[in-house]
Amino acid sequence: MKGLLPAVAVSILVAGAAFAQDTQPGATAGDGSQAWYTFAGQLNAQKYAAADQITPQNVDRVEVAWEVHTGDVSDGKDKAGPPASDWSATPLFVNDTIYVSTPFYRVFALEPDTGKVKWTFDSKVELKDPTQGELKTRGVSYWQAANPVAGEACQKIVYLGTPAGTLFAIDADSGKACADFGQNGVLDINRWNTVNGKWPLSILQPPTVFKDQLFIGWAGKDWAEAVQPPGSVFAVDAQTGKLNWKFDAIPPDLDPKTGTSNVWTSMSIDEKNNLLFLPVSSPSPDFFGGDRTAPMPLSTSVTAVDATSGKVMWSYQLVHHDIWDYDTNSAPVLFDLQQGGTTIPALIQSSKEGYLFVLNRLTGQPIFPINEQKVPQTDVAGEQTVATQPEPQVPVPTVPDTMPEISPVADIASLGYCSRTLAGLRYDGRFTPPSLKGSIAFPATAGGVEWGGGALDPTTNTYVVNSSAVAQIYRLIPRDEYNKLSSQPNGSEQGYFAMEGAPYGLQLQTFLNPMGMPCWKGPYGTLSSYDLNTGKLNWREPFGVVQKWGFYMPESWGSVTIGSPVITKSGLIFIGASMDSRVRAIDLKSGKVLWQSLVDSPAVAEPAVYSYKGRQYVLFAVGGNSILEPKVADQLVAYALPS
Amino acid sequence: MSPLSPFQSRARLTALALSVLAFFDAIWSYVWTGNGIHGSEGALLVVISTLLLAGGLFVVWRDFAPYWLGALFHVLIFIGFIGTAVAAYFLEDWILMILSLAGLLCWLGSVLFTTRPEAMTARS
Repeated sequence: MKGLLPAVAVSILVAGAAFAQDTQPGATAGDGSQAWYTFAGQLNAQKYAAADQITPQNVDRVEVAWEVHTGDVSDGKDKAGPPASDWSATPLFVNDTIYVSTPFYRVFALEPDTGKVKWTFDSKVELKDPTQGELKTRGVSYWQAANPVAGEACQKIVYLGTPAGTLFAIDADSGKACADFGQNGVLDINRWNTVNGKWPLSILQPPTVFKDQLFIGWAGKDWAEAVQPPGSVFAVDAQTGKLNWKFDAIPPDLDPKTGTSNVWTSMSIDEKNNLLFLPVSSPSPDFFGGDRTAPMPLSTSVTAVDATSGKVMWSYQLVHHDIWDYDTNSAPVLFDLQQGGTTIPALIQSSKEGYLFVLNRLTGQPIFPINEQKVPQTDVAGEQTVATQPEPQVPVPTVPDTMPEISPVADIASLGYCSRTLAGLRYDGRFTPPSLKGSIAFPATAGGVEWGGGALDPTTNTYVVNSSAVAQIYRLIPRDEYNKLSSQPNGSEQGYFAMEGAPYGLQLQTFLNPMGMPCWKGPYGTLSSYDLNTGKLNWREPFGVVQKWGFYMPESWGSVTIGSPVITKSGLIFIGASMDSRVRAIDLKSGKVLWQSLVDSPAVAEPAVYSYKGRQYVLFAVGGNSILEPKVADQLVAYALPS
Repeated sequence: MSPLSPFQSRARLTALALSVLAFFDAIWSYVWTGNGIHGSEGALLVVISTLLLAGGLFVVWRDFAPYWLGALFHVLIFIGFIGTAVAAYFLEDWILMILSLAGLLCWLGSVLFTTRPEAMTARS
């Protein structure tokens, strides 16, 4: 009894701190059902829909309710035309309207039940990408005044970012620019790009909106040069674009040596506690850290800041001295963990390494044990690796700790190429540093878990996440030799990474045989379900299907996966994210595929689930992503039960 | 070559007809955009394999080829049906797979059941 009182007191305190979500204006649809008003469905990034019309029992009857082709698509094959499009936009359903941006940086506003176009907005930016090499967009953001004044413009605003570093504010009802925002409706983020500003801060991820502020991260190219713009997040006024505060992840005295550690993916918000959670990426250059050995505690971290002031409340570094490009790449999912009758305000941060970090979201302290494990050391002149890296003990990672053995099929088909190649590489398990002879990175920069992150059912704290298991080869090349070898001195996401200013460039290859078959055994992609109250794995299934030359490989192989799941109240998971251009409904309890539908390309965007006039819709933006498949599309397709 | 029994002749003709149907199905799969395999190398491969199958079966059915070439065609047609069926399986083109397997059965029937049905009746 003596010990019970403090426990009860703690419970009450914690319960008081427990967060309430969906208070943001626009979070609830007009008919009372849940909207999909932000990138991850809700500001807590749970990707959870309260809709329950489509169930495991009737999902096999789901059909296409409407379909729209935007026309904004490019395969990049025409050298005189635009680069390839990469459409990863989560459509929003809010204000009784679907809003979605296209890779040509236009916004479509559509009727939610028919797909009929209400209006379109064209930013008219030049169709080239100064940082990514592709035309990317992950969607738009939405803000509305707490008490919108009827008949007054820009009481509800849609925001569109562009690779040129500009942010457009558009009236959500009329599709006209909001003149009071920035300069005539356009905010030039680049005016704040004053340190090492070598390229525009590309706004590919829609800003996070909370109360009357926008939180804006950006994408760069941390593989191209050693010294780059320092990672910064800008908080601006939602109606005027006025800068309220700025967060920098890099200590200012290190600006002459490094850069980035930016936030290029989505963020999450604890509304109750006014906390903004930043998934901070790795510093530049990606694969060599010999010139940036001073501590950078905010790099490759999840960092909580006060949403009003930008003050850092706590930070947890997921990778020390990152030389693997293990960017923290998705918004942490916020939830209330139930443990021994106590509610703990928690978050789960997925990662490219496949580790899942479960932390107290008010303090940053681990809830499940995380050990500092000894890791392999570098043999490269000038590099300096750290002795240990954090390794969560619970939950189990989404990928195996060591690369699976060589695939006999791939090895035989290539007359022993895979075995011979592996014998000439360095591989000492996780965190094997890049080397001159080439090192295996497993998992590599391709993940593990990618930018979509996982989804959570808050009624049971069941967490579902898709993950790839990809082995890649990191080979450092001395500068002189690199400059002779590389045909792409400015780097690209696949192939050569220049890292200008560092003593080495890098060649990055996925570990394939000459026929394009993975040299390691599958599965290459999985979907896993965890009970986050205990940290235990519920189930893990191969996810998706690899398709090569049109041939579908066995389901047991799974597919490399980019995109993310959503969970519905009725116990379904909806997800695209696989190479085989299919979208699927999966049983939350068992992991079994209950329904699937063919779409025009891999659906790498997070789907949106919404209800309108009593009917539940699941909406996919289908656009493709060159990392998965060189297949692009412009399809927006909504599924529903027959009306 | 000895003359074909009516059964063999019908079986070969059926195999030819099935291979022609398989060819048209393969073309449809190659050009129809709603199937997930259109325009792919695999879909093109089965267009070519079914075309060659149909051609080979026509030559054998009409008995154009000399003995040695006919024997070679027998082997190639067998491999062609098997290979096309396997490719169709991995392309998830179930119609093509069924046509290929049915064609294979007819072909095997025409090759294996060489005894004239009326002769079998007379001996029994």
